[in-house]
Amino acid sequence: MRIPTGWLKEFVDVSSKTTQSIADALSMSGTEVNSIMFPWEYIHGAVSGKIVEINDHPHSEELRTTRVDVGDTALQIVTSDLTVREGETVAVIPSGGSYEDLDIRDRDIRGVNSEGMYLSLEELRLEEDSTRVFRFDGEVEPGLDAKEQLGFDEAVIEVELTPNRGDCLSIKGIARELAAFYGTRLRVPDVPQIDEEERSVGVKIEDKACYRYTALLLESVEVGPSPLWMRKRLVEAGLRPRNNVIDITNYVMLETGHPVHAFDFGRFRSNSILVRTARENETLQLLDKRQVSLEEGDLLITDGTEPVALAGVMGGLKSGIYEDTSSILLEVAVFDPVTIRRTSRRLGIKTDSSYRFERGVDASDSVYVIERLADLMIKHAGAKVASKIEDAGHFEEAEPIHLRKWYVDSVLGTVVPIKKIPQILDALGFELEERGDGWQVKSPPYRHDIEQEIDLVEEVGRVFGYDRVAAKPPRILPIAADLPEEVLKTRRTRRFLTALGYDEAANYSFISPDSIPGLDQGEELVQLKNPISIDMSLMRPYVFAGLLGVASYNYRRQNKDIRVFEVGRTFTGKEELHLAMLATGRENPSDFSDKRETTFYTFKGAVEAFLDFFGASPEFVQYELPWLEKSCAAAIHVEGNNIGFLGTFDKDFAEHSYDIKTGELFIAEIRLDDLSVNRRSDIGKVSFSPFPRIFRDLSFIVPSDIYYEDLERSIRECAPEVLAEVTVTDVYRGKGIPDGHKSITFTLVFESFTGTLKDEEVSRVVEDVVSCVEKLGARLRDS
Amino acid sequence: MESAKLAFKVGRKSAKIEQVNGGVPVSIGMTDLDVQNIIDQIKQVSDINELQELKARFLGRQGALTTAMKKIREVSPDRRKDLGKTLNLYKQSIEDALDEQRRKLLEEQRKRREAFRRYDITMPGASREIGALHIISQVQEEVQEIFLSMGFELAVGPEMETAYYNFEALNTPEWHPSRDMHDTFYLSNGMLLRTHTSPVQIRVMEERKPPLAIFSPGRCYRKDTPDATHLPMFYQIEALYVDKNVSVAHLKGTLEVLAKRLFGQDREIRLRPSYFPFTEPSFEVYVSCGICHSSGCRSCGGTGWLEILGAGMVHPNVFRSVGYDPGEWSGFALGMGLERTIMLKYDLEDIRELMRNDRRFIKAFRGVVL
Repeated sequence: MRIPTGWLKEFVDVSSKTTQSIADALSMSGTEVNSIMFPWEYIHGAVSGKIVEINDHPHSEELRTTRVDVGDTALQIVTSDLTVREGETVAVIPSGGSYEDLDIRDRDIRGVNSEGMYLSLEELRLEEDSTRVFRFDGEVEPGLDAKEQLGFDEAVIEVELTPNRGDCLSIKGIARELAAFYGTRLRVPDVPQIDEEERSVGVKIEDKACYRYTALLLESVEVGPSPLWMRKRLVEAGLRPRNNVIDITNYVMLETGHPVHAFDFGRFRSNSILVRTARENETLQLLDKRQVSLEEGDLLITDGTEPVALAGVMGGLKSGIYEDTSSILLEVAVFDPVTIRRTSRRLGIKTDSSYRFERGVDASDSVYVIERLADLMIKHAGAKVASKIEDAGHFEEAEPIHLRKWYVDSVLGTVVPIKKIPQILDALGFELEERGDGWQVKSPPYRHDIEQEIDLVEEVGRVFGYDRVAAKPPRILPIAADLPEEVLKTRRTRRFLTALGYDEAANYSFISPDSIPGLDQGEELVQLKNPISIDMSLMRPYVFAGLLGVASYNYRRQNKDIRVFEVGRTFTGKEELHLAMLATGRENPSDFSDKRETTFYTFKGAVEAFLDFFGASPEFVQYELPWLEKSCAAAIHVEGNNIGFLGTFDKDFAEHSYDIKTGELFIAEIRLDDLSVNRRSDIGKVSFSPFPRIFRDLSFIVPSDIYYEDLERSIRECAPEVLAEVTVTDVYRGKGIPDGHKSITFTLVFESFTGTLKDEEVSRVVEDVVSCVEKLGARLRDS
Repeated sequence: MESAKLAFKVGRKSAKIEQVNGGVPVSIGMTDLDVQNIIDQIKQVSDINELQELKARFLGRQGALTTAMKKIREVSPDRRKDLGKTLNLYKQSIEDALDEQRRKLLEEQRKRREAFRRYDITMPGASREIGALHIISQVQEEVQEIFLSMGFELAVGPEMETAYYNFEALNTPEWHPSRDMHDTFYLSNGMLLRTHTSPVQIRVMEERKPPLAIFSPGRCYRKDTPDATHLPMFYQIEALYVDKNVSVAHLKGTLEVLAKRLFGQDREIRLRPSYFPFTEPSFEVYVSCGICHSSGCRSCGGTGWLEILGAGMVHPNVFRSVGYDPGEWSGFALGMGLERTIMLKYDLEDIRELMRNDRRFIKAFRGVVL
């Protein structure tokens, strides 16, 4: 909300304060200030000028050549406004000034030099399509700062209000805050008593969602422009001036916080007001020309027959104010915030009116507000009062709240001087009565946010000032709580994978449904009902989906050696903690001596190392997933559970959807919920042999279709327990190896817990191993 | 090398010793010992291993000199003493020659080694790249450590939440305008994505009796279109302390510790009254600008203070919703957005950078915290 300071100063005496100090005062008492602005900042160098001479333009009948006195000199200015007259006082920007991005300079206009420009109402943003030169109302000495003369140099403070402070949605409300802060009084414009007429416009409230409805009929209204000062303030507040009737309703709304309405009473079918809930299938065309279908629960203002306004939200088009309007019905009403909010939300219509009603409007001063409206209508729209003030419904005073002095101190953590409390609350409009250990406090009718004692403590605190509360850290007793498993696992995973050379990524929890092929495979997918875009419409069932995007992003920037991981939650029927890894390109890009590309084996090695770090002994099982290449996909089994997978991401999909055209993209996803953080630390007593180990290398030529796993199992099965380890040291295909075969070199490690092994013992075992393996169709390679 | 070997035909059988002064062959019985020749041979050796071989041949257990020494018994007693002296002299000369040659060869070897620069020490190392933690993780853990050190306990909760835990239990009724502060994502399974980590407060308080001091980090979601200062997903860390007689002073004390450790010991904090439905009073918390120290400069927009988080005293209605007696218990809560903290600490201008995962961006933050 924008607060014009000139307007504000009518309500509270802050003449001795700078705009900045007013803004600071507001900020520190709870009204956030976004900015301080000057709406006419775009005009530089404008001065008042008196037109002293008017001549025809030598080459155009559409132009006039004028001389204008701007104090120390007279300028020659060419204008297209043929209505200017000698003696009129105008606003001029002489050469050297500027308007928006335009530097004003001497200019040749069809053969005549023009030494500046006149400002029009349109250029002053006070009227649309108004190209005529702006004239000052009264006599103004030439050569004065035009903006200053018009008050166009006044600052506007833009504040952002929290939703609890509906009472601050007005000049009066903000002024009230400042008055309390500075300890001065609020000044409210007096309105003269209006002479009510006998005539009565019936007002009937049928639904309790309308708390109070106050109406007054005016006649012989002349619709036309509103006074300049009013338009100026509306512009400062960010509203567009329309006509006097509408401008006055907006002006009073901004001033008092009451959303008020003016109907063209001449267009009513019946001459009364009935406030009721909408009927089924009822419709209404609103002022913005939207046709809305109403539902029961929407509150309507009707003329007794048909709806004329959607209560608290927007008036109807038919009973709006037009140029020919002459009799108007003024409405000052108070509605139930929830009812207004429901309707406004359902229809997606948010107005200055609904915004205020949702946050609560003062129900106590309706008569004052309607009198203020009437007074302005009489003065600036020629209106005459044509009825008495109708005032239906009621307003309830708030129940008093007991405020304990010690409670204030105990919450704020400081001792507030006892005189300060009633002083602050009184300034804010509360009524206090000393009682027992504190006060009975009655809230003013505009403070709908005050419901209990703590709300009063807050009022005291914010005005007293939190800078006056000394910091004092609490004494928190330690308790024996473990970190949650999720946190421990996440932390360990992060440490390990960065040590492995993987960078960590962070991706949104929502993904595009197209980010992974064949996703609808039985997963319990969770969609967003109101996503920002289709690309962010599915809760991720797998974390790797985001890593594909990361790979693509970096790939397109020529970062083609990628090793990246993310650990985070996935969302299906439940939330799980997953690790996803992705690798492509060189295995060790910063090692010139290591030319290896990432292969399934190097990637699997990283996955295995990770699982080993968590104490898991995985089995890798041939697998099929729609997003993995069939030739290279494995499920990871740990203790019989399928805890994830790894493999090569679908190459066609990688190319088409992610622009990754070369190389293989390896991905893995592991459900960390299935791993235990403690398995490693629970290994118990550690034992190992103190005797030397013996190593033997054995190379076999084996048919290509024999799985390594079978060979290893065969070796282990026929070796006694002195065989400690079996590892592969080489796999070779090519020269010397028959087609359809490969050579595998195993390193067997022998050790005993009881003594140093003898060569002969080991040789016997090796012979057994060789004959076992040869049964599988392998053959020992001649060395 | 060949000639040296050939010239050394000192056999056991044909050895004969003649006494001469240094350099002249000596014969003792069957053994010939031409010392000058031996020394010449040693001087010609160019390989350090060969030198070792020679040493064995002359001075070893079965070497020529040793053999000659043994033969000394066959010599008549009157000559034995002189001969012994001479042989010792010879032994010394050979040892000296060997040592000298060894030194010479080692020196040559070193010179050769030094002349050939096997390694160019200016070459880059064959480096192993260490991965970088995302800056969000690093700052998250940094903040976690601060809370843990103050005695707060870490708690986690679901990101898919019910409206009850996300709003109602937090004193935010369905039709209250404060819901506008949280534009919420709704899910096909009837749940919503939590808009803050505060539901964890409720879940913990429902399970436990006070006093308690917990904090909860995690992802939160609000329906904001991504721009330079907004993301539809963000990371929050929220802390809650419930005890008897907890006051704004305790909140300030906690915030001061947090701000000083996170932003620097010279920083100050300031509370500005604000509004959250679940706290009363509520605050926006500011930290003094690190550049101008609260006197106002361009980087803090002239105000001297930077907004870092929201906080407040737990609203009695929140206590009521979990069955705590607000007459007996009081508490404070605070919630900070990690992205904002990162933007302030590392002068990041576009928050979206955090979700782009450019490898260069991630790498740039390697090790800044962890």
